[in-house]
Amino acid sequence: MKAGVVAIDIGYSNTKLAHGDALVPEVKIIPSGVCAPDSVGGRVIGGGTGKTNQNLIVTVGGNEFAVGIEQTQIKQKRQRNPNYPFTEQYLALYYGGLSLTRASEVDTVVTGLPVEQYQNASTVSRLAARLRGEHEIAPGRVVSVREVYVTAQPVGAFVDMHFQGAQSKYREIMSRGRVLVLDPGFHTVDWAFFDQGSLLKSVSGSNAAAMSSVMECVSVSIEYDLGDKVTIERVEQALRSDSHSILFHGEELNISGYIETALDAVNTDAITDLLNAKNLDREQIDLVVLAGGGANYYRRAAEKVFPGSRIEISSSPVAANVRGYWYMERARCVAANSAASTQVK
Amino acid sequence: MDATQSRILVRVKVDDTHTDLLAHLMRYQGRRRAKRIVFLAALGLLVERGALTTNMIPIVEQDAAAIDAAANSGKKELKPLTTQPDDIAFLATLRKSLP
Repeated sequence: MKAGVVAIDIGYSNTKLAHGDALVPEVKIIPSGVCAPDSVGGRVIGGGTGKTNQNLIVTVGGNEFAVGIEQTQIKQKRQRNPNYPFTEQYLALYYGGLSLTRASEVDTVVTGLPVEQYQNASTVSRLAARLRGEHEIAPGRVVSVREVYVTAQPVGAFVDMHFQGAQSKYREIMSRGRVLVLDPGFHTVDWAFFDQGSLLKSVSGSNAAAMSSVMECVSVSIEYDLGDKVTIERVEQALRSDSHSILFHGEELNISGYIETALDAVNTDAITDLLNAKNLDREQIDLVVLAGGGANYYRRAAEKVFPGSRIEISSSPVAANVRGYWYMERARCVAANSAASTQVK
Repeated sequence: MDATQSRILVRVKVDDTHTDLLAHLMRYQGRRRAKRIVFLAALGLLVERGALTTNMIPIVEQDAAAIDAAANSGKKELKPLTTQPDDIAFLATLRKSLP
């Protein structure tokens, strides 16, 4: 089977996929946990509410990997280094994404990098070269990828807001105004600044005060108050499930208060730091778009730091980037096809 | 022992309108459960045509809509791609600013 556009966004927490050759993408989300297949036994692999449960086994460099595993089921620490896109785990997740499309040939793969990595041209071209070409994703199963386009992750959320924005006035703002996209992920907060529809790279970037810092703060506070440690993976699970409670020494512990305190402490500082670091004039921002897994947790901080701006959270913010990648490339294909058919006529 | 008598009461045809739903069922519910769901749907048709009587409450339209929504999850809530001149101009401006 041949696929036209496959968009894939490989994060530390989730891997998001948007594909399909219609006018609406098919979106799938799997947890980004990767491990040896025998280490998860026969359990069904896959995530929480609304997620696609898939038991995927792929092969990278002769080694088998199970992908789509919840982080709580994995003993190894999560990868946290700038070389993540060049690790076997990353490639395994890429293969997992390709596997979910069921395609054997793909015209174009679109993916993204954190802004700071995107600003390094050699990292972009190395990643594109790594993902392009023929890949044996499982024994005897080859997927051929003709072209790879790498962009900055928040560019996806920006495009997605143009096509998905609840209010049509946002389209006008995005074309004519100044828009800041904040994309809080697990290890980094990415931000990209757009002026009249163009990305201003010099005032865009990433910093490390992301959701992991919030969770670390919650974990430390619990240990301080109650005298025992809770891993950040368990805090993350509580945040994702919206229950905001965990089992602590066999008792239900509501951690909402810890979360609120940590969000206030970490997020406001994180946004203020990024504004100061890039000398960005906050008063002249027309719209702040929040995307990514931590979007909902940054709203309050964003309202505090940008009191005069419109603040909008992308719909289903976890998948906003990947939808945007897909819309961007699919629009190019549709426009090119329509131009070609007009020429034939 | 005599074989149980049977006759075809109704044929269930899965046409284009339902292939998405069937594919979804096969993929996420498994072949066995998918077959069972199709079987139950066929029974529903028989009831509808008066060939069977049952005390079951008929499927209301809301339930049918929920099944349909599940089959197309992620599709209906998204707005379709548009390629109006302002969309093309928006993307062209953005692309120019990307390396």
